[in-house]
Amino acid sequence: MLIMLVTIIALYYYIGEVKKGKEVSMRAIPGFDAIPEAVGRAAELGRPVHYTPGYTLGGLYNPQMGPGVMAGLVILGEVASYTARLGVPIYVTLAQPEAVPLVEETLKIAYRAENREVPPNATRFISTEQYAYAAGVLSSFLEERPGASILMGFFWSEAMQFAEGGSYIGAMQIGGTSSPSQIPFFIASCDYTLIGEELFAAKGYIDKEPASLGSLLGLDLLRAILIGLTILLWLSGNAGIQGLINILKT
Amino acid sequence: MSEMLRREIPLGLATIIIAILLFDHYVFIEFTRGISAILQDWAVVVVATGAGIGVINIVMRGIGNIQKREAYWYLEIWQIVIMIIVAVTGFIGVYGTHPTYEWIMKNMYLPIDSSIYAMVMFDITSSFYRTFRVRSRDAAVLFVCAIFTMLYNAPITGGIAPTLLIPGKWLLDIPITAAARGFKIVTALGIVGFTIRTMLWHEKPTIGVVE
Repeated sequence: MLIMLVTIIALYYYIGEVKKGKEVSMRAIPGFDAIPEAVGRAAELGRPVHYTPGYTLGGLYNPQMGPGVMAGLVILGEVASYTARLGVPIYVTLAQPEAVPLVEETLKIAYRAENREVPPNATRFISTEQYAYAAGVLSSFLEERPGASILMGFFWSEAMQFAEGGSYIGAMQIGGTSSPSQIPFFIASCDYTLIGEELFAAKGYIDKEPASLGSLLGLDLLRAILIGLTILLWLSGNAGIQGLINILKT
Repeated sequence: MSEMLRREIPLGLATIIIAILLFDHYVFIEFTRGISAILQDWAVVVVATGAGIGVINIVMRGIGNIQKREAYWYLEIWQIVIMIIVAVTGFIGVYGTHPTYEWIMKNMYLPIDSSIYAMVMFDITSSFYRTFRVRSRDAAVLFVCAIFTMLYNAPITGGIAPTLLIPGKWLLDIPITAAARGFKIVTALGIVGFTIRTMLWHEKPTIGVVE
């Protein structure tokens, strides 16, 4: 609860600071910078772009996996605006039927902004079953041979299948996941990889709005506090002082 | 009114729901516990209703492909037929106990599901082959670590040369555990920030509101 309150206060404070004109420098995240390149490559090849926010047990409702998929849907808005601008067909494969309206709405808004129609069959719910979903995505790779495959969300073992399948058809691939066990597979097989919380920083990095940048600064502060606390706990633990550890345990 | 319906109401509802669930998670009050339980039940119902949307999406897409005679259109017919058979047999009597349904699941679905899972092994092997070509210092370090980790996980290593287990165990217990913990903490922070931004209306696309 304390972390949550500190986060809210820090977010409000830094959003106010950025609105007042505070300069914010952000490190480059190659995975995001490569999105226009991936869409452009698909355009040059005359092939579609594939996008998937991954698989979750129990759908978007799952507290551990749902946020990753939701972050993937935020990034979809940005990818779709590039595909709409260049007139590249995009198709989104889903394992969460409840995400279908969200994806349809996101695509509609992105394409409407460029005065274009959403490509037919752009939103494709495959299955809620993990390997049926994997098989559906892989068969779409062979049928449509996308020029770029963007995998952003939460993934299980199907991550390896998607990344290798995409590599097999020669698609440029950008992978990003909040699933610790799948990061190595994306690093091994994708051209660019977003690691963990980079996925959740997407909006701030892409739109550079004061609110988004301020919230990232707020989280940086929290991260610094946690690193400091970790070092303090390590030192106090090694010195045999249990007071602080006991307070945090309660 | 339509602007309000599209923007303010979903965002307002999201804020209220997130605030109630957060409050309930940290503060144990009977009143919010009851509301939180109801909200979570609603979420389950909404997710279950989503299955209907999924079926509509599959059928509409399938019919469209069949009408346009797209590639493999005949498989779309097969998919819809199978979907109807499984749905009908699944709903007859007590859910999932009809002999036809059980036969389909046991003799068709499960073997295919397991086969696709087993294929991950080939993907991992092919990925490793490409990744572990030692072309730089970083790749060399990765390669050496991978060799020791594989030796640690291979049952035969313990029997032949137990000493070779030590580096792999150290790698898994110390640097990998430390890095994984850091990764989990930072990802959790990202989720906290994402949730709060949604609550404060800074992540509007997540609830279908894009300006």
